[in-house]
Amino acid sequence: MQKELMMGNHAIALAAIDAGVTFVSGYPGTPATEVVETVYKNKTDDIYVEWSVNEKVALEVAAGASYSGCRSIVAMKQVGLNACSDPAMNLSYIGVRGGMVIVVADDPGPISSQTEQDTRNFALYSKLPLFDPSSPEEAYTMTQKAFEISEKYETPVILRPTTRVCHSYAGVRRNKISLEPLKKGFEKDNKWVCFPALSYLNHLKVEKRFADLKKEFESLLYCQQYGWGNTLILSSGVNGAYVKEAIQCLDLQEEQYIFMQVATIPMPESAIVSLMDKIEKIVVVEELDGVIERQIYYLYGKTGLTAPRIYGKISGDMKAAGENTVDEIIDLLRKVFAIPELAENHPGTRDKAEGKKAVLCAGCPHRAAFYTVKRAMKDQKAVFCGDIGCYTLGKAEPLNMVDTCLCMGAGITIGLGIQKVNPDDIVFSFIGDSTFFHSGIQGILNGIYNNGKLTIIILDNGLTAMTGGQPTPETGANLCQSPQTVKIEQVLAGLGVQEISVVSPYSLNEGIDIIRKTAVLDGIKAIIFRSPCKKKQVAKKMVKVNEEVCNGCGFCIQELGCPAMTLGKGFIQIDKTDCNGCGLCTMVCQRQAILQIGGEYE
Amino acid sequence: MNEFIIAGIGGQGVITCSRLILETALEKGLEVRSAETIGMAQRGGSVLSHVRIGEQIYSPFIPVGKADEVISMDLAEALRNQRYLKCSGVAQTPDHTDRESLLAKTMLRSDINFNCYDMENEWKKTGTKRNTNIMMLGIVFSDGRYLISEKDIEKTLIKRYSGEIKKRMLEALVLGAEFSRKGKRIR
Repeated sequence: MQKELMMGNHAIALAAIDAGVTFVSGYPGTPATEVVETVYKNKTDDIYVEWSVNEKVALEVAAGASYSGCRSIVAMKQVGLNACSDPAMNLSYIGVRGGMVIVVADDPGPISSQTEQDTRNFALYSKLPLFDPSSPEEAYTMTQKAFEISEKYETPVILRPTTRVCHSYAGVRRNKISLEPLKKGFEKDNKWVCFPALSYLNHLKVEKRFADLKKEFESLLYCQQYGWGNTLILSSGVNGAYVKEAIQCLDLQEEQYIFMQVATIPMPESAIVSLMDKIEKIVVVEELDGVIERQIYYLYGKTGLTAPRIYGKISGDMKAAGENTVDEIIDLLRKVFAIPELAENHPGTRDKAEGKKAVLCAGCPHRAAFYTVKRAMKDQKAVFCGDIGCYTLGKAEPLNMVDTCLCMGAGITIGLGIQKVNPDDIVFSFIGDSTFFHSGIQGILNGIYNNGKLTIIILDNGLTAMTGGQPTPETGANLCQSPQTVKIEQVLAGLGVQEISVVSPYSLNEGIDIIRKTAVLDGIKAIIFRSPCKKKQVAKKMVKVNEEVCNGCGFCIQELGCPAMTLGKGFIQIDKTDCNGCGLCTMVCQRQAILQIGGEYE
Repeated sequence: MNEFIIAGIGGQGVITCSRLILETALEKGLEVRSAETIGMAQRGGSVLSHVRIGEQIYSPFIPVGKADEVISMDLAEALRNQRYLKCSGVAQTPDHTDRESLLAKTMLRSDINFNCYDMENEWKKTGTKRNTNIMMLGIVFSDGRYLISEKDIEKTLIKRYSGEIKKRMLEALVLGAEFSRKGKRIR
């Protein structure tokens, strides 16, 4: 077959299809989102795909499918694994029948995440096997290998790409593999029920499985050794590609090094052990945590050999946090191989300049909602708890309307806690529609149950915006099902929320009024700001600046920070390609210099 | 190997631009690799794509001081990413009304070519601002310096798009090629 252009996430999805996957679930999260989307775009009729409401649910529905002999893939970002670590840990004991691959995308940097956690640690913790691809090509072959291993050992297998594999493009050749067909249907068996007595026996099985896999992984192609020198270079994931590039740049010769990827957990040990007494230096190139490095120290301790000089994260030779670059690896290898630095031959700056920060889009309904609450609570002692989504950007000046942000759904629960110990504060929690369904509901239930006091602002833009506009239970129209819709106000009423209002974020005065009235009430109250995401809007109402009236005071920019507005020569300029015509600026200008004149942008 | 940094602000078509290069190069039998910014930064933040085409490419990233060209949708972003350029590398960017003040803030490297194109009038006349990314491709690939040409990109556009969008993109590509002859070189 010809090579196709695909990013790592496409490769994972297509490899799953080519391995006979029939059940796919997940929750959107950068950098994993495209896995589920790509299966959906390329699926055949026998493949079921859903966006689940959260990662815990996604893993559990896939477990049900796997118990019934379906091959399944579940995709999430690394923090999603925190939300589903309960079923993931238990599945390590209970096991699966149809092959199950859990794609957990780590995010060194982090580029779009809350933590730099390393999923390889979870593999060691849960004793689930893990594959760590270095390129889209490997993401493809490892996904297929993961299904094979999953069925052979009846265990879920974690595939852990990082952002630079997920969102990196390459030409990849597809290859259908023929795994043993599975008998479909759920068969009752005691093994599906976790009892302490069974868990003891399962623990023994898990330990044996881990030991067996260590041997199984010795023979993998990914463990190939390059070179025959006395410096051992080990790498994890995409760092393998960086190391190869660095070796090429420095023109290192094969008699100088041995290079090997450590592509799995458990780590295949025997190849490394056989080298341990011969090598003089070890370089470990990995991101996030020093997982391989720690295992190397352990191997020297276990074998009683004296460890050589080890260059890695734990030793302090590589930085503790953030993403690695080829340049840094070149610098490290220069140090290890004592290669002098070449004279700088490109003058000018090599310093990293600060880039433009992300902002809420022009016309974003979240800006209007934040601004409404800000105006309503001017001069009041109010706390604004935020949550995860585009609206975390409400933290930025000039809005500055996010005082806390912890994890999905925590805006509500942290708000409850803050209010309990600061009873005189007016506490608001902002939550998006998708986050509300993900894990906001439990917090609201807790607030009702424990007599909390909180004003919940639900920013309902009708989709999961940050990750590219996936559906939510409210919009229905999920991937494979006929649309079933769940209204947020019905859920709130069902939970026992007495005071529920729905308002447009663009009705500034009405919104201010409702907020002031609602905030002083006792109990759990909700105000839904409902307006679709501007990314999905086609028609855009035109806004015009009356250049004779505008005096260029810049008040609108200071208040709103809308990216479509700039201060020109004595008056405000609105960029027609950016402006979405929301009209918020027309309500803010004190001179009525900005007008919505009817008509739409071309 | 040809190495391109594609730079811009979220929403300016950086990702489309890099994918068109990759797809065209793969079609020509070249090896390709890229790294892209997707996600939060796309909300109006700085966006960067590393694009490498040729053979024996390991890393998706271009090391600092190695890129042949910085293809930017925005002058400030071109300045910000000049460090990626090799000695005598080229930065290509639409001109900006604030050019002088931007240049006053950032020191321009003396060993690179920094080309600005006055596109403002063209944008107004033809409504092509949305297709700046394609115009930039026309500028970069029209004189046959690289492993793929403007004609190759044209083929990809014809294959990938249809209707009005295709028409506008093809026009933008031609416009870009014309622009390549009237770049305003700064220093």
